[in-house]
Amino acid sequence: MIPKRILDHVSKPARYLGGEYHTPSMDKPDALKVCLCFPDLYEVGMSNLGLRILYHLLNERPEFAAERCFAPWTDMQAALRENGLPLCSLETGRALKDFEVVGFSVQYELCYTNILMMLELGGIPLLAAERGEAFPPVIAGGPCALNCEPVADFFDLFMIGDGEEALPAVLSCYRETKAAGGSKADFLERAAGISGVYVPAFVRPKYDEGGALTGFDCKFPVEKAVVRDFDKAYFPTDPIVPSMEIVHNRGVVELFRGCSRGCRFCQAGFTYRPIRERSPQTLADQCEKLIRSTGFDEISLNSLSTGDYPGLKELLPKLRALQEKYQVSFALPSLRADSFEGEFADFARKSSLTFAPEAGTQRLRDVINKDITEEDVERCLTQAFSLGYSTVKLYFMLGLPTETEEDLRGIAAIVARARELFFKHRATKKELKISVSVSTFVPKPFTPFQWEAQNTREEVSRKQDLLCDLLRQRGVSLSWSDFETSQLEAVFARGDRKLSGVIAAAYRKGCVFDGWSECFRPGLWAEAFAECGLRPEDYTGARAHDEVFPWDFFDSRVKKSYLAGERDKAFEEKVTRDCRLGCHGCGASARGECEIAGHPRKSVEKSLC
Amino acid sequence: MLIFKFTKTGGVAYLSHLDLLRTFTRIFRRAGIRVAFSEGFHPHMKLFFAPPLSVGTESVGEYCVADTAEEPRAFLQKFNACSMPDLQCLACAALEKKINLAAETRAAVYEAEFSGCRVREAAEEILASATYEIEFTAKGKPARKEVRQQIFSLRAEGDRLEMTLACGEPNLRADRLCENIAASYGGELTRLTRTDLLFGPPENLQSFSVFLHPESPR
Ligand code: SF4
Repeated sequence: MIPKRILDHVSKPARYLGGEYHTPSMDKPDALKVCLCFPDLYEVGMSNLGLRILYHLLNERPEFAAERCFAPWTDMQAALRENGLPLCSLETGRALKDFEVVGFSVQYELCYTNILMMLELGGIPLLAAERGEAFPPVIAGGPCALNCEPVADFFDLFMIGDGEEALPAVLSCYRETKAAGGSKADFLERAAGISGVYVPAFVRPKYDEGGALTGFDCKFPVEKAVVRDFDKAYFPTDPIVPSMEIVHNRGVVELFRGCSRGCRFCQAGFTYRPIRERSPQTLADQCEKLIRSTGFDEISLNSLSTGDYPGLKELLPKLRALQEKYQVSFALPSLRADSFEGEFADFARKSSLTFAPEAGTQRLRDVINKDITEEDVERCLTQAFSLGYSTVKLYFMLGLPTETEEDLRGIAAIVARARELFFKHRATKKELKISVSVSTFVPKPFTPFQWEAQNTREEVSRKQDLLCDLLRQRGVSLSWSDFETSQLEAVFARGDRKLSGVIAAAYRKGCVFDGWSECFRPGLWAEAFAECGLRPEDYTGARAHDEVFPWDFFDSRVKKSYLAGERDKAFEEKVTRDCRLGCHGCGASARGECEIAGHPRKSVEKSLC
Repeated sequence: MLIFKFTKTGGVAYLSHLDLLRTFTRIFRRAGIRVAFSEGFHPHMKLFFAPPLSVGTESVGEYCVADTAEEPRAFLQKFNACSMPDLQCLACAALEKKINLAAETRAAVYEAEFSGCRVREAAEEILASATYEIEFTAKGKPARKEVRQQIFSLRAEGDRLEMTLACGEPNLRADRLCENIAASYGGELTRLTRTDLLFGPPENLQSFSVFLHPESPR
């Protein structure tokens, strides 16, 4: 327990206290003690569905006792250091170093320094090679595990893909190895054979004299873990109910995993394939259990593209019944513009409408395979404005491959058209508010754009200035991501093992919470790169067609040749239609796991609109 | 209408009043306890509290009045089954008419635990003096306040200090008083718990718990 004199003087002390409703009992003397760490604040981590699933999945089994630990905010970090106290778990207040296994959920690149901060405060040496038998193995999973080379030196083992089966398998392997008197090295050797497991120590990247990657010495194949029976897969219906406000303070169910759209910039769209769905009945049951067990008054129906869920028509009446019975509301996030229709609109009445056309012209939307037309946007806006909406959020990307000034002007044209439609169809006295959010394109591994360059600082600032001029209109606000942040994200996204040194150096200089603008220190990062003899630009440029990527030894199921084909089509401005209409053979169903591959549909939900 | 007494201990002591309200709402939803909702644009459950605790101060003597038709015994059982160990209902009784806890509260009883503090000396000196000024930070700025009139009683026992302080209007924050005591008499405050809330004229303060024992004289 953290002493009162510290808790009384930090911001939001409830972050560090646990004791929430539904916290499982840790009174399991024979269980393997695991700490699941999330390298961001409590409010962010507790909103993460992956962590929620794995935490409860482990705790429902007698052989595991999983606790939680989140990144302490800067005031708490300082207080722990000053008082010589270690970073501890929420449930039993045990220091990280005293667990048998420590696991991290790595959701985004900009949390890497937080991992180091948590390890250090938790009493664990940063480098896996320096830890030996005295310290627990430190493992990681989550989206960033797909290209974890930049943090490879800090971890003993990564889990790639779905964790529902892989994590218990890895932990059981550890238990058994230890019970048989085995060492950490024995465990890693055995665990490396489990589907979805990657042990960095067993893969040696090979470089030529110029420092270019030429290949790998791989002891084991590394492939993504895939849960086959998603409908029956474990899902927590009595999750912890946070007492303090968190980012998404509501219940969540997961409609399906994977996405059939194939937007070419979107990593999740490819890496969560194959596509697997839950049945409407399973979902309705899960919703009802959640409502009764948590008391949440809002349930979110999550997936990468909720409007695509083919069971929506069957599910909605069931949800309506729950809505009436329990006075709850349902949120349908990531509804794409083209799946927005009257029925959803009045069902999930929100104060604002969100669209993500991503690009300003049809040409560029074809390049990125974002299947939204001007008519789609106009139809939905018209409908929304006549329903009384007055606030619209529009999301775009800047710096997409082949982008020209014309495409940026297209963004302004969409905004102008939205204004026009509002004044024509408005059903409210409220003023129109359009917020345009423009993020900088980050080329991500395992996407058709993994070969592309990120725009340079000069290009980005020129384009941002232009947009600023074009969008200086009443009722329109423009926000963008700052260049350094997007650049760092791009460096790590396609980075290699050499970056471990940069991350450690930046952390030593004081970098933490890099994803938080109030903490981000680009000057210190620049120093860290320089000290390691590397430049961010080395990582953000275009990659040669035949280049060996640091992540090439990972089998993410979608074939590299498929991605390359999608890239060619992008430059030909050719779209690839939704694979619910017919499988394109991306490779994700090599073992028959893609539930939609064999069942082409005549139409997708777009026709509803 | 029901009045119930509840605890706010451990980690729950660090929840803000707003967090506590949301937590109550969820407990009632889970327990299936129906509480009337207010009218208006943002309807909320009709729950009425005494002056909120400072964040970090525990309590084993909070009160709440709820607009519900639930039977008291069932209420207590359902509430506790759906709440966490640090937020438990201790007693519950039906009310004929609403009590305005916030307006009627006059004083609160606290138990403070110190380590290495000359508690007895503090109590004696403060009580013997006609004035006592405390220093604290409010909204990031240092502030001072004369509070002797708001200290109704102090009783030292070992490392503990039992205090009865003005609560409501005027109000003296026990955590601020204790921090001043620790600053002047050494040591540190390790735990602070509100044990009861009182109403009535200064010469005859009574605990709200009288409403929980209908047989006792009012
Ligand atoms: S296997 Fe076919 S249907 Fe499944 S995600 Fe790949 S392309 Fe789409």
